[in-house]
Amino acid sequence: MIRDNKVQTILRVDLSLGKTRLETLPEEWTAKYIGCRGVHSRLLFDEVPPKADPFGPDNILYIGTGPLEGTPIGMGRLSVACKSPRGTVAEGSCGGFFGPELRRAGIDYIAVSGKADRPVYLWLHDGEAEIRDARHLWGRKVNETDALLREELSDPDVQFRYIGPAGENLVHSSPIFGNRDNSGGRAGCGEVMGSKKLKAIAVRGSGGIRVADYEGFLKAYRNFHRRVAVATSRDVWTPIWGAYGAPVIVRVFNDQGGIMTRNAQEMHWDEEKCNRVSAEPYLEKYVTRAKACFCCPLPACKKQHAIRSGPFEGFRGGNLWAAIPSIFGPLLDNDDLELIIVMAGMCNQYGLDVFHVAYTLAWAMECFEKGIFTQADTDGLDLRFGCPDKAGLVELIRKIALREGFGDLLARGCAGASKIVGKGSEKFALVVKGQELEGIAHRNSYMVALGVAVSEVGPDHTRWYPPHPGHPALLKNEDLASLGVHLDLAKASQGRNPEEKGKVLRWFTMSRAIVESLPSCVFLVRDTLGFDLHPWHDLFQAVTGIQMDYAEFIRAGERVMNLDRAFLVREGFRRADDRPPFRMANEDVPDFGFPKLDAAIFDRMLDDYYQANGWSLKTSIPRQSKLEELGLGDVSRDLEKCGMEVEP
Amino acid sequence: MIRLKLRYLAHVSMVTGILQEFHETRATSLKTLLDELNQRYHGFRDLFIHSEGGGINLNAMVFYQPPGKIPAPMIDLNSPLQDGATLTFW
Repeated sequence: MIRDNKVQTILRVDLSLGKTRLETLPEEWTAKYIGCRGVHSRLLFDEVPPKADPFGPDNILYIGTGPLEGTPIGMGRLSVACKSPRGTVAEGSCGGFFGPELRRAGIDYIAVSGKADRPVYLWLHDGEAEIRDARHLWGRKVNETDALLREELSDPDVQFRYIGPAGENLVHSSPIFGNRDNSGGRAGCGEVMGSKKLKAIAVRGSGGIRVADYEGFLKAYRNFHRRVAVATSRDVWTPIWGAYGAPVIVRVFNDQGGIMTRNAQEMHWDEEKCNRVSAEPYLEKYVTRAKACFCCPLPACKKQHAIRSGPFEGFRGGNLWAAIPSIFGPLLDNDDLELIIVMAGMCNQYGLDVFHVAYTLAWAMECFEKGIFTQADTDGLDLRFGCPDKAGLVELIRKIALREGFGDLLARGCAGASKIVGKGSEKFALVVKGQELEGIAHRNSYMVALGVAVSEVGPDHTRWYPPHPGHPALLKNEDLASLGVHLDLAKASQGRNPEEKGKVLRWFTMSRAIVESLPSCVFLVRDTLGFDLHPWHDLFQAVTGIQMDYAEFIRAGERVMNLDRAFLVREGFRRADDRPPFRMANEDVPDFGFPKLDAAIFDRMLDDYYQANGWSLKTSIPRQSKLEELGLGDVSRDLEKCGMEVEP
Repeated sequence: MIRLKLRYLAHVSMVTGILQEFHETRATSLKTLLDELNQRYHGFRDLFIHSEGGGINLNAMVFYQPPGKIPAPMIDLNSPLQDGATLTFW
């Protein structure tokens, strides 16, 4: 079967009834929401009832891709989405090979509703769907599940998505995994998958993807490729990404007071320690081979590694991506790169979210040093910063996934655990909307602070990546204006100047929503591709054959943003929830002299962001006029029906 | 003579073979420093200076941090250098 890309299909799976059926989505959705993340935003709003129990049968888990997947621009991107156990949108994107395989099997989206009465897995092959018994896989780690399923299905090219024991045990923030080390949907998609007793999805397809305008596609792809290739890209991050991957940023951010050290009590780490955990020694001592997502031109993110000697000899894994050295390094004051590799690898094997684990450990370490915990509370573990008991920490990660002993407390995440423990520990639980932060600091970059606070999924820098607007020599304000982006780039680029932050964040969020809906990889938004979306527009038109105005293409991203916000406010979130963590808003940075995030400054940026979006300054609910302008009048009416004050 | 701290990131450290060093120099601008480092590390200058335009490559970065200050990108090859500064190349 050869697929075209105008009409997208969705496989409905009801695990309560044990039934599946394949449907097509309305054809106009491809122009209106594009696909992948955009379609998921529409489906979530329409199909998950307001206030649905996240672990109940009414919550729907969506796994899907979009019209450009399967072409070289798709990069294997896949979106997973559901209502988060914290009530927010839970949506995340991941790479690998599942997305193209799904499309080759004739399916663009899978919508899993209901709950199975025993562990099951889905086996999808060329449009056929089977719900199979997975009792033999339940309790298995991610790498074991991968190996067992691969053997069972006797086909090396089958692609998988699965959860580990953490997802089965509803551990806070568990994502969904694939290709052993890739994860996506950290806001709890793995927890929801576990609640449905769905252990895995396996897919194999033999179809193809036909682009509507082959010559047009080649021309547009070459144009795109010039901007992302190491030799021709005009972007300071491209060579680093191409050769070393993002972990090298730990050294760059440290110089700028941007490394959260000892649970962000400090923002600068010892330089020698930074050198020891950066990408250079990682590449020299541990990397065994490169591994890339489908068709990626910068194959540096997902390197495979092995520890060849010492206490962790023989430990193998991969995908030591950008934030890992930061969150398992300075955040815990740990300069042992091998321990970082093992801790991240344990999270992958047990299906845990690395951010949940790292931030919750850092919170627990601060509790320990402040006397809130003693060794009697921690199952005997010496939990000081600096990680004196390395083997004990590795064991603690296993206990978090299996909810054993002290691990059961940490399995609830920073917010959940601090609520139980109290004693002021809530003030250093680094969370927004119940979700742990990532690796990027706040008090030195106001755009990051704003972006993390307003995100509808909780902290997720891929919603507005990158955190630096662009090379000042590459784009001028008049160039931007000609692209419909009206802002002062110099001011937008100043880390601690609140001016222009609302506007630049809006543009970044809207444009990344488009990239993730095509889909493609936001880490390839290099050169001018973050501001000039014409190359993406050309690719969309060539692949789908849908001719649409550039402004209308941009509006698709704005629709996605507004649908996400509408979902969030319908679940009861308001302006007061769009705040940075207590520590960032109340404590100065001692070593760099950065003051706390002043409330008045933050509120000004928030006003600017809501104003630019056409949202209520009081509540953050999208205004009726904005929703109508975007062709989302039904969303406005739905919000009103739910008793919400939608301003005109 | 001024004394600078030079830090090399990622692919640049492949050219230098080291992550950082202290360097005493009579160079007064970024351009003359790059020329000097090119003598020591063959190909160093080409990583940073565009072969046709002669300006700094748009896919390269030099972060300049005067003593006690927060680093900022250097975009002018004629930028002066101050004793005790740190330069990070990538």
